[in-house]
Amino acid sequence: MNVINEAAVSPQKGWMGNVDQGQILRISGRSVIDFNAFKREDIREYFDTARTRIYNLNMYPTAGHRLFSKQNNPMMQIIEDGFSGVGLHDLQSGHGCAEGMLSVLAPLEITYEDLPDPLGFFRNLDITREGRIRPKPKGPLTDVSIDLKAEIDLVCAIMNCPAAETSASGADAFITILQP
Amino acid sequence: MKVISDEFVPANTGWGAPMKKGQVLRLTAKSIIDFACINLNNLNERFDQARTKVYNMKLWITTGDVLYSKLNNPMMTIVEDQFAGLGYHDLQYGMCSGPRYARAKEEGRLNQYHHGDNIPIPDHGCWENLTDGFRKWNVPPELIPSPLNIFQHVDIDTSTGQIQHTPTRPEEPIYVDFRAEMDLAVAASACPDLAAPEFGQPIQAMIYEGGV
Repeated sequence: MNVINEAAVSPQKGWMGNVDQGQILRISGRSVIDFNAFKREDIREYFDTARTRIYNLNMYPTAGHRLFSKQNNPMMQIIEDGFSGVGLHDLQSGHGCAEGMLSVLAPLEITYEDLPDPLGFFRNLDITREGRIRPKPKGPLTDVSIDLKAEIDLVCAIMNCPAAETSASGADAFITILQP
Repeated sequence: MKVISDEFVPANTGWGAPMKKGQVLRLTAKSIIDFACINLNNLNERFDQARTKVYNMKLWITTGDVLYSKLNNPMMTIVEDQFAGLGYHDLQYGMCSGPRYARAKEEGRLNQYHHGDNIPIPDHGCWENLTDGFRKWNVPPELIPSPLNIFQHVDIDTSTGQIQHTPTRPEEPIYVDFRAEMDLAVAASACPDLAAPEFGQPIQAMIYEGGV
């Protein structure tokens, strides 16, 4: 696979870039990484947490699951999940650092009110049988990666957003875009 | 009880109304009601599933719990919940819609979402109905928030994350009361289910003055 693009993303910083249909976006790190995606030709179509949960009929996204748009179209597929067996990605919470994501997305002119909820990679929520949501301040101890294959041309964005209580705060995140 | 308005909402249609802070919305039905609210003084401030779950620190909300906006402000408080003990309201699903039904049918997955594989499907659903409910405020479809799905009891295995449709609904019409914590536009959709018509029922939407 050819590497199309690489970036290191410091804590409290973000990244935005194009991922073309068929390309693979690899996100690596050990802190919470909030993720949003938009259809490039019409950003009013965006990744949607509810559509994604219900398309996959599962709260915890992992390999094999697809990311869906509000309009119910496939956007990406998770093809590899290095966090599997270590912890759970989060499709319940809002942005941990919304203002940061808004500045990353500034070229798209998105307001706070219209900022779609993120997929919180490596957030590792603890949800009890009774549905209680508890923070679980244990991210991955070493860097892990998740690979997502774009099903359409996208604009993707991440925030490296370490929770204050997370031992891993302070670590860089890494973006790699691969062409199979 | 001083009733401000009391309206009948036929199955698979949308309803919307403004309400003042302190007033109470009573939604009565025996099938699913998709519900959302918007700040009347800032139409960009909308109900938010994620904020609501994280503020209440739970997946399922009931009496005493608060509906939050994306901007982290309290919008409504559930003051009475007759579904408590019978089932949970849902904060996982988006809204059903014509395209959503069509995709499920095309993929042969109707059975996973509804009550069988070979079932009639409606040409529109809660997304279109909520858009209709908010029409006088010109909210575009892509900005209709993912709703609170009242009386939509879903089985969730919190260890595997698996989400499973259930037929658990109220046996008779029951209500949930929501007190407005700010001036609001509210909208509700009456379930479009055609496969099991007893599940696609009308709703009654009443607004009354809160307090004593």
